[in-house]
Amino acid sequence: MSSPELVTLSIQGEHVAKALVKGEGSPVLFLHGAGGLHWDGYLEEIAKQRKVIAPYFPGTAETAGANELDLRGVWDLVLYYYDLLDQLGVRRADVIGHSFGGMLAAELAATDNNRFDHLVLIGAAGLWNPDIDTPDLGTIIADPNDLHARMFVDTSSPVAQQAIALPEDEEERLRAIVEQVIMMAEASKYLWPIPDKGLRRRLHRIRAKTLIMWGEKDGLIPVQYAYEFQKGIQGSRVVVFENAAHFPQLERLSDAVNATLELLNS
Amino acid sequence: MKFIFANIFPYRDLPEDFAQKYESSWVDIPSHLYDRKKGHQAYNDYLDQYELAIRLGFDAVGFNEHHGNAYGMDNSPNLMSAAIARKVRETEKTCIALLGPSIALYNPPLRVAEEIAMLDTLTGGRMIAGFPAGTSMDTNYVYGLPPAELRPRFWEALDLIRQAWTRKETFSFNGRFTQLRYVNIWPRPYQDPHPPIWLPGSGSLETWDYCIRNNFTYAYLSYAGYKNAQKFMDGYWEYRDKLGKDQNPYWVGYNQFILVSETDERAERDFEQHVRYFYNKLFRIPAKYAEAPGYRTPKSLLKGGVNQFALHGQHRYSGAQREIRFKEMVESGALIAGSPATVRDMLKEVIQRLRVGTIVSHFQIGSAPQEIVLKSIELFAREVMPHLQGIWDDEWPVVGWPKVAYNRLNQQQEVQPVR
Repeated sequence: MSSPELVTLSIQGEHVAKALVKGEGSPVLFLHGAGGLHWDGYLEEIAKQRKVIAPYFPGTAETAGANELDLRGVWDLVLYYYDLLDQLGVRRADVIGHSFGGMLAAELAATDNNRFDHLVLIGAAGLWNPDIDTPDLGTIIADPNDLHARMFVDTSSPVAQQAIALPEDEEERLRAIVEQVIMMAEASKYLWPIPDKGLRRRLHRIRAKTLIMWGEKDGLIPVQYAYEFQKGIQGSRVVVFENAAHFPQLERLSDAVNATLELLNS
Repeated sequence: MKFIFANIFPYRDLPEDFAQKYESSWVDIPSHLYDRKKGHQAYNDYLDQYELAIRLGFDAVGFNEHHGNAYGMDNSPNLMSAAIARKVRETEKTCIALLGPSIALYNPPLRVAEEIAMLDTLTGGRMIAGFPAGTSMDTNYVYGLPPAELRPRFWEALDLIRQAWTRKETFSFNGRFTQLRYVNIWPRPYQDPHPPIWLPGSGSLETWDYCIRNNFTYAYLSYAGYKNAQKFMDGYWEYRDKLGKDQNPYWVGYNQFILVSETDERAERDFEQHVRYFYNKLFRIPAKYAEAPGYRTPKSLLKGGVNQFALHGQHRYSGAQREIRFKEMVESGALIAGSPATVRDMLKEVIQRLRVGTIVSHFQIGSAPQEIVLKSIELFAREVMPHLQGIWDDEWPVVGWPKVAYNRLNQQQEVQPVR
């Protein structure tokens, strides 16, 4: 696969934002999870049919973060992404969000509900039900083996190995780990101590056609949350993939791509 | 030289097999391990220790703050201070050193400014206000603060408290985390302008810098022993020098377990199993609670190095589960233990090598029973402390303490004619 283009944008005047962009056609915004942005096989496949715009979460990849931008909550963050789309000249788009990015995608689609035609949520965060046994990501990341086993059904598979690999070079590896910590710390502002910042109260506003994709064995955000989202979003459809955990878009790549494109083209 | 008596209020009665059966003394330690009668007994034993320390002439008694754990059951240093405030007031010059209020945890943090003003009023100006950031277990896990918000909240709370203590007119405070239209506390602190502020910490340059520039005392909260602390403290004194500040030892407090008995052998016999209890049971903190992502700033992460196998930084408690060898711990200075003469010599070395004006002295270690702790406190206060209290006072005036604790050099400074 050829590399996506790294696009640098100005946000709030002089601050730096960055996105990976690839493909032609109508734009699809992709919001990554708390593990950071990695251009993977799923994005590559979507980019064959659409223009994928995948921003780095503010504060990662040497972009301006919440402190510089004075982002104090979900609302400020939603406006950040609207600003970013405005900078790119994108008025209407589709949006895909994975994990923490799913929470943000739902917030974007609920706030300005004319801006997005289609919404894809993959193993999305943002809702809380005390009756569902929900693991605490903040403690799980202390044990990478546990974390990886919750992310992938088969951690030895090529897609899992590729996703969890760290650079060989010691200095690069240290930098990659610190980058992961920064990403987690930034995401934690919206996920801690409970990943509920009121999204449930806003879901009813979503007008985009919505697909909710989940891995049946998701060890980070249990599959029951797929139905929690479905309850809140009118007309939404749930697809649960067997033999997949928190990254169904990688573990069931072609099925996930087909389901995604089917929705985006509907 | 000053000595603060401190006790972290450990739970003394965890079961023999605690370390084998349970993974944490913090956050989710099972509540069925807690016996309310033993808790009652421990609280009152510990306050008896405080009252004894007050009678025996410690320069101050100190309290800290922890939450949801067996390691330290003092959830509120301000409440505990209130319980002994009148006893303190009756003494000639004993003070109360708060090494606890985790100001980032209170909303509005004005509450802390008020409570310390109340205690200062009650004691007639004997309070020291030490404000730590708090551990990740306490602040992120038990009190639910997003890790990356802890420090911004801390600095904002400190700013509000200082303003509330110093500004004469009613003012408004428009912070990121706290908004108040009217700030005007009553009572005001007894000390003018306010109790000395200390920042207890475990080694970030940011905290040193803030302390030095604002004339705050730095209290180094480490259990690692003076041999490990040496490089760190040398760095502090060099840094002060670089900023053109004096080398007055009273700018620094240092944490130390002190275990005294009739002889060196007896001290080991008295305390060994309780030292083991402390490190193996109370200090049992799994990586998952030790440091939430964002608890340390990326800058200090890069400086301190991160654990390559975990997203968590290499945490402070990783050495805690090792085999406990009493003699080695005494050699490293993690414990100062032995006869009064031994303890005297060791402490003198620590004080002079690290150049510290205050020792935060912990006598209660782990499950140590009341009798041997009381004996240790008495032996220390009668046979050790009087021999060390004179250190520094011929060279340096006291800083960072209430006026009752000042020495001869402070008085000389004060009678100088004012133009």
